[in-house]
Amino acid sequence: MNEEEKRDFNGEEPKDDLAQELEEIRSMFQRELNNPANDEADGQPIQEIDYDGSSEEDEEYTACECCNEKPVSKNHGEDYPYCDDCRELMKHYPLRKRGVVAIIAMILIFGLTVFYGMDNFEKTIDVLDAKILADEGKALSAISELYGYMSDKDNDSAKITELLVDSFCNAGYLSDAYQYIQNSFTAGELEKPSNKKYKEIAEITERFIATQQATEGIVYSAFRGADFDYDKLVAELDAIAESYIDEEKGIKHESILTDYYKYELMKIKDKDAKDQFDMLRAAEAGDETGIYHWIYLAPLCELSGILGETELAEEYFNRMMEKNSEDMLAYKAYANSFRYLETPDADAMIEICEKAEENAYNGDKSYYPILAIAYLIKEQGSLAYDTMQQYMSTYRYSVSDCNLYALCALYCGQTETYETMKATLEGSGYAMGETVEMYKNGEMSLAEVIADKRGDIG
Amino acid sequence: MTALYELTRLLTFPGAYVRCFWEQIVCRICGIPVEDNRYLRGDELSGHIDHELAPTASSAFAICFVPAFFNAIGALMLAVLPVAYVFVYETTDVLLTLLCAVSYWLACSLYINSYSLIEDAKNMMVKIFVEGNIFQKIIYAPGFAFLYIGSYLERYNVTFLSTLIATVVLVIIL
Repeated sequence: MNEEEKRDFNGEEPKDDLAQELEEIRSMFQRELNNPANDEADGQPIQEIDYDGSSEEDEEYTACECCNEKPVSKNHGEDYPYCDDCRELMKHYPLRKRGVVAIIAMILIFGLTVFYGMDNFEKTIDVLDAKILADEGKALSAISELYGYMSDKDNDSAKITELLVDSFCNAGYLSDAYQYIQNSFTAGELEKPSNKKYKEIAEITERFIATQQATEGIVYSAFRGADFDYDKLVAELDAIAESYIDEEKGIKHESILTDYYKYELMKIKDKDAKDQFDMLRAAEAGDETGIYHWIYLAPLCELSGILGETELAEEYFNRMMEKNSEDMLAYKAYANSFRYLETPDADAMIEICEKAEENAYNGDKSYYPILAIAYLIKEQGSLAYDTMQQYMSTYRYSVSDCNLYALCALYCGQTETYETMKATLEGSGYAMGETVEMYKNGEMSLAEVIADKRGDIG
Repeated sequence: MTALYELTRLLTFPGAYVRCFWEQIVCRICGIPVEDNRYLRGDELSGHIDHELAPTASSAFAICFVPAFFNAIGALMLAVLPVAYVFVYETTDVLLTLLCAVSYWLACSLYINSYSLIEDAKNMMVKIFVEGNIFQKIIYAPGFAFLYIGSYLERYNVTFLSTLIATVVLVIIL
């Protein structure tokens, strides 16, 4: 019997297998409808089933971009592209090894640098200290710091070489700079562009030494106090300035040094201060590299004072401070610029000496003579005498120091000290300064001796 | 500018890796889904991981601050010795110079990759100053200013340019 035959006339299906199956489906739907958990899923209303069996959700259904299976979650915005499961997985996205590898590599490099450079750390601190000192213009302290370092350790630092050579040049120790360059570089190394500066310093120093040797015989006796023919010596110095050290290479003698010597001769012969000043200005103009600043700056500073140009004196003093604030000659020259004013300014001189004390390298007291002169100007004889006494017992003294001490002694009535100084000078082949003797004989006043520019005292 | 940005990420890839690593760790801790954890890629996301915006003020701040902080600390540590040995001491030791060069490059790479994306910084601003309470505003404000400005300027490769300038300045002053 076929299906049609199984129908009765009322059209009802007979209760056979098909009917049983349909009954099961109906029951299942009924169970699902009765289940309250299905009333609202994730807060979404149940979709109404259309007559043709399709739903609204089916029309907007978008698969997760990650798994491409489950529908996207609408809990995180309309356009959210992932399903909840994938989102949860994304919160635990595996970490990439390369991040860890990069961190380990960095730690390794850091460790290696620390380990390999361990010895250099202390050295770097030393160099930094020296650099700070050099930047502050304390050339002597910087040299001392670097020399202390050099005696203990090998130099594998280009900075030490640079700092040391610069400090030597700033302090006016050209020969030391030259010696250091000779010891540190071979001739081939000096030819490298990176060492151009050192080569230049070496060449300048060679010219300087050669000029010094050539002029030594001319000016030596004059500087020792012997009488001389000024014009003759100047002509000889000019001839040297024009002559060659090495004619083939076209290397001439240093005119800066001959100009300076001419200034010294003018000073001894008490020539006009303006002429002396101009001579030194010529030396300054000839110094293209500025390496000879220690030759002309101090006398220019002093002469500016003599010419009444206190601002110019200050300018020269500041230039000296930039190079080497521990240079006692700079303080001495600046203080002298106030000494030679029409009305000497002793207070300014004492102020400069206080500054010198502040910056003195290793407690250097070589500014004491100028301090003693300031006290003499202020008519504080005992202070001047005590200062010089202290100075003479500690330091190697010069002829002018002996003269000054003798002057202080005469002012305070200490004739014994005067006699001792006279004997000391004579024992070394010198005579007591002419101005001091004149003061002793009453031919000059104290103020006149102090204002005398021949340099007998201080 | 984007091409230069991508190029700098490539040149400083170790720093980019480390930055992404910290960023991903923060995402994990804060439960922020990561969509793409490629560390280097050919777009403006290079040097950053692709993650959802942080949902809270603290997580938004952390995702900007933590990588920046650790990268900056790392950069500082790695830069100190090269600066000391090469710029100050001017060592002539070849091996030490080489080590210092690598160390300095790593330090620069960490610094260049320290700031977050501007999107993260903007999200941080919203979470702290729009949705955050007064305490969050007070606590996070100083760090926010630094991180936001850094992220904003980073679009123009400011860290890369400032690194170059700093190197030149170091050479000149030391």
